[in-house]
Amino acid sequence: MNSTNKVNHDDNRQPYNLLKNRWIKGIFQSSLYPRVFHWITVTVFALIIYVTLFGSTNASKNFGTAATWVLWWPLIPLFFFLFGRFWCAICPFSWLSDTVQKYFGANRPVPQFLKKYGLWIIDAFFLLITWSDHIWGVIESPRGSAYLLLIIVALVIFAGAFWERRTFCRYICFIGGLSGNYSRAGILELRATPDICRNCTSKSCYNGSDKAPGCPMFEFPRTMEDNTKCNLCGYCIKNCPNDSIRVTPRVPTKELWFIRKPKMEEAFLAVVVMGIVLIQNLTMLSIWPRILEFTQNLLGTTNYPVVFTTIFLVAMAIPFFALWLTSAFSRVGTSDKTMRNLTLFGYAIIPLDLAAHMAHNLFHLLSEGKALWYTFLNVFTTVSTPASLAFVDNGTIYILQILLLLVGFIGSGYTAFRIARNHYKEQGKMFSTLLPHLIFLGLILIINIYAFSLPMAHRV
Amino acid sequence: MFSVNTKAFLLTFTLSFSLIGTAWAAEMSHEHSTSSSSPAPTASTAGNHSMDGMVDDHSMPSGMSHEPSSGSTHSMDGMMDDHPMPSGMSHEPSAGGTHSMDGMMDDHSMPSDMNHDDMMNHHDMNMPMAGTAHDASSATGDHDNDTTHGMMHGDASMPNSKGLYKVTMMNPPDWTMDEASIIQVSVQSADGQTLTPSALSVQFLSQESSGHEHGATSASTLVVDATPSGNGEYTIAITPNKEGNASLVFTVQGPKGTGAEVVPIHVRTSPPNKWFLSGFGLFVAGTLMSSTILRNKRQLKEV
Repeated sequence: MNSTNKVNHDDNRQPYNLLKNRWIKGIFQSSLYPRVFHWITVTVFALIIYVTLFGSTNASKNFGTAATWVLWWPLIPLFFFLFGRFWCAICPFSWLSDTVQKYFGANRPVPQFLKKYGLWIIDAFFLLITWSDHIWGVIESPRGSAYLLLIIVALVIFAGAFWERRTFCRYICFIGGLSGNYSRAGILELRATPDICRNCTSKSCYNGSDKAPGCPMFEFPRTMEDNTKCNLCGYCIKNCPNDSIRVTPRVPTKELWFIRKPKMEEAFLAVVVMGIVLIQNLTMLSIWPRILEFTQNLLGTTNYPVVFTTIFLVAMAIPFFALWLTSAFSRVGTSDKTMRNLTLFGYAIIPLDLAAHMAHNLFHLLSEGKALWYTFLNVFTTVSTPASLAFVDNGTIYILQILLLLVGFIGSGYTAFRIARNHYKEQGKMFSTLLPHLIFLGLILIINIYAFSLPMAHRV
Repeated sequence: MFSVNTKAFLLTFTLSFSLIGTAWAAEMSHEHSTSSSSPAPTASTAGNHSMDGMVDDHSMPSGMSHEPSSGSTHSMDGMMDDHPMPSGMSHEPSAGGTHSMDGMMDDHSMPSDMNHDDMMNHHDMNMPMAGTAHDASSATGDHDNDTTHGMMHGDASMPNSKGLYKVTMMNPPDWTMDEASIIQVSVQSADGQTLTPSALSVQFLSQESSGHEHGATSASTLVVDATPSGNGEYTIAITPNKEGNASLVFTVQGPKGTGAEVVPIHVRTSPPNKWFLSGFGLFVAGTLMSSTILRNKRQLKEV
């Protein structure tokens, strides 16, 4: 009796495993998963490339622009929050990488420099793309979007042709870097069960089997501690002979509370994303011309690339130095250095990043969403577009944006609290380390609320 | 630090991407420079910034069209308000015909469900400062609807003509975006007499909306001076920088004074940059060939 009770008690402590549902398990174990999604995304991607290359150069009439920047880009952060990096499993680029590898792949090992500096490369890539968008107007130019996508295609082909597995997805893709960070705040995780894996000798989750290839993201589920790389492709579920893998819902942001090996480059990406949201908001606001004019007067030049680059660097630097300053206050009286404190609490920005990113793009999705339908029709015939492409009015969007920001702030604040509790409670410095970061997060919240209250430009 | 293979990869990668990147940058900076040229000094003098979206957003009665037909002569001064026209009137002259539609602005009636305020709200423009690429084509969806109103009406979008001259395009080309076309024009007085103006210049003004609700802005080019080519004809090279409906605004300085004549044109979309596509194709082909060689070598070793 006692023994039965103990087993039940242990069972209750196990995280809920969605794979216990036979339907869900059946989907993951199906040979059509995730291939069937690839068919859809690759078809849509091919259409997008075609229309952005050969269709109208007017963004408001081009389906590719609308599908990419009004639908996909606004929805992708939500996707990361709900399903982790699942998008990466069905992304057309991953299909392209696999296909190139299958027929042309040299399958060389990943170069050390990519392993060592991969995240920094992703950070730089992300900054470069944002910068080049503002210099050359990529988003508002269908051709620009096509060239950007084709450059990424070229990178994917290069990585797939020379290096093993999905090197591009893991070490180069800037969306992958972003999704890695965002999915850490997400509500779904895939993990192995260490007790079961302990006796496993096949390691087929990593090496692959006749059922599926090994993990394309170079992960070994047995030692996997976070969501940054797993794309829920389900290969490990198919391969595991011991049913060790579980897919579990979890409390949002929970993974950020217990980062065992905090990395500066991951924290840096979180800060960079906040800077990018800031600059994206700034350039779409009616005060942007005045900022440009002020900078032009300050620099004594009207050269747009020079002026924008200056503002861009400042916008990127402001959140970083604000966080550095916050960490300098926060670490007082603790045994940590400022950079260590910054790295730890940098993760706390991620929920607010995610919320600000979603809030910014919610405007595009809800105020321009109908463009998707009309531009799609325009691929086949000529249709007149209505004056308004909005689903809801701007006032409603603003309220939703504020709600999202508040939820993000609560997520970030609570994450900061948990980080402070985990690292500084024993030193008796929990509240003194937490307070500066709460003030920092509050300031970011206020800036974003103000920014969203101002008139904003459309994408198409 | 790196293996020979890694160095070779990096070299191939860098060289190929330099090629692609250069072509891309060249293409995009061209697009950028043309779009950001909208607030060119002459254009801004003419106050052309509220032109866009007029064609798309204001409906005309059925049977009417903005599309020009080739070989025709147009004078549509004063149409900048672009109100729906009374039935039977057309922006589209028949081929070879000569039309003068001056002064239509005051006569246009609006549909019963549309008033000036509605129109202004639809074109609730926020016209930022000159010289910024983004602002030149940005639409604003303000939360407060507090941006500048009323730029549609009474705005000197195009020079106001008194119907002094008629400009005839002798060889109307098939206009393509970003592609220079050389046209020959002749100038006549309103009563059909051939004139020799002291100066003739032309400016391209797009009438396509670059966004919705609020962001209608115009893509214009610098004013180009015409060169006399004899027999009262003039040669001008024009590069339209935006597809769709547009106007060529001819500014004529002649014996009857200064007049501006508007000729509507339609511009086809431009094809993608050939250099970029070639660079992309070469890169992909080179990459796949290199990897196949490496793959075959490895397979031979394994055998």
